[in-house]
Amino acid sequence: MFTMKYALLTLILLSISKLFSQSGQTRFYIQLHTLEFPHTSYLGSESVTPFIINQIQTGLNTRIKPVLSCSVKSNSGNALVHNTALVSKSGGILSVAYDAIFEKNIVHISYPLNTMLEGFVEIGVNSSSEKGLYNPLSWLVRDKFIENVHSLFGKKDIYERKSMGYDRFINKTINEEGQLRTSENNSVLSTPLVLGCNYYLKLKKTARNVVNINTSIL
Amino acid sequence: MKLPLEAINFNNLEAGFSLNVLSTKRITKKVSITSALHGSMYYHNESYSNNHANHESMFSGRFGGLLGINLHKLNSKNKASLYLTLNRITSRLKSQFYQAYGEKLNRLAYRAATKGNEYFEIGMNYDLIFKNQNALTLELAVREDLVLNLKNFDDILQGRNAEDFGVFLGLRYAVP
Repeated sequence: MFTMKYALLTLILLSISKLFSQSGQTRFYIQLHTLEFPHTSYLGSESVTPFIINQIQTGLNTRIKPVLSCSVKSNSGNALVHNTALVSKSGGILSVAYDAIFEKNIVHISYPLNTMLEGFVEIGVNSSSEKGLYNPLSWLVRDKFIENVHSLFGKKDIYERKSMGYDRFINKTINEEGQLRTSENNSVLSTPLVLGCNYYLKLKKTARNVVNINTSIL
Repeated sequence: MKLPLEAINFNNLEAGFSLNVLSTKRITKKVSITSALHGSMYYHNESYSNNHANHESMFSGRFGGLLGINLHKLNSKNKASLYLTLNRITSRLKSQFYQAYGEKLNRLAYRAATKGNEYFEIGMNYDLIFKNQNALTLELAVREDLVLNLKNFDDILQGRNAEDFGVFLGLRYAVP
């Protein structure tokens, strides 16, 4: 009887110790995942308008350390600028007219040079077309879709797209010396090559918070 | 070997510098918030311009901010995120040197040409983390123009920029 009591007590103690060790493991398991910091680095989009399509831009860089990566980024946007003469104070006239979908497609490759520095190269294709060429989501920026959305909000044909006809293609500039600069539908405007580097400076990193300053030269 | 050097136009040389300040803070075990500010300046060679205008600045800039909510599970490293950005890109055309005459749409065109582009963006981002820690990221975003003129609310809703509506689709494969 006495031996039985001892055996029962030992069994209970063993169970309790196992329970504690299991809960300890659970705590450790949760802690491991807590240490995995849930930071998200966004790809960084770029706006495309006829006035900046051929200029370099840098997206918002939210990465916190250099990585080896390959990204494909596709931006497309609907531009409508009615035929307008901008008269300069010197008497010249800059004439602009745009009605097209402008696209900026980029292949971006980054390579870590050390723990804080990253080099990158970007090759892009800037194009203009009436319906979009490369971005599969270009149907979202076509004239008809935009005007249907405007109509839903009670603003019918505020930019006179419908009255002039949907999906027209105009990309034309006449500068103050009278030189015409234009492009045909579905044409590539430029193919920029960008070389640069990113420097990642970590100001603070705890289990709950990370603060970084990223600088880029390109 | 003959290199096609004539295809490279060095008149188009541009240079840029950008600064990003970002912070991510864990709110709960499954939610964290990322906020970021962006500023960049670009130098454009005077001998070339997109519009061949006489009164163009050699510098342009871009300024923006981002607020994102990141959602993640405890038993998985995959993450989903929703974000909102507010951006302004300055124009190279100097507005003080130009005027536009005519109806409302002509004035909007003047604004689009000389005042740059102001827009907000709503997007989503999904990170798929493989067993070897490599990450595949898919990002989708839509942009809508606005005017950052707090004095006139109608102005903000109307939008008067060259890019009326835009979309972004991005894919990245990263090896940490």
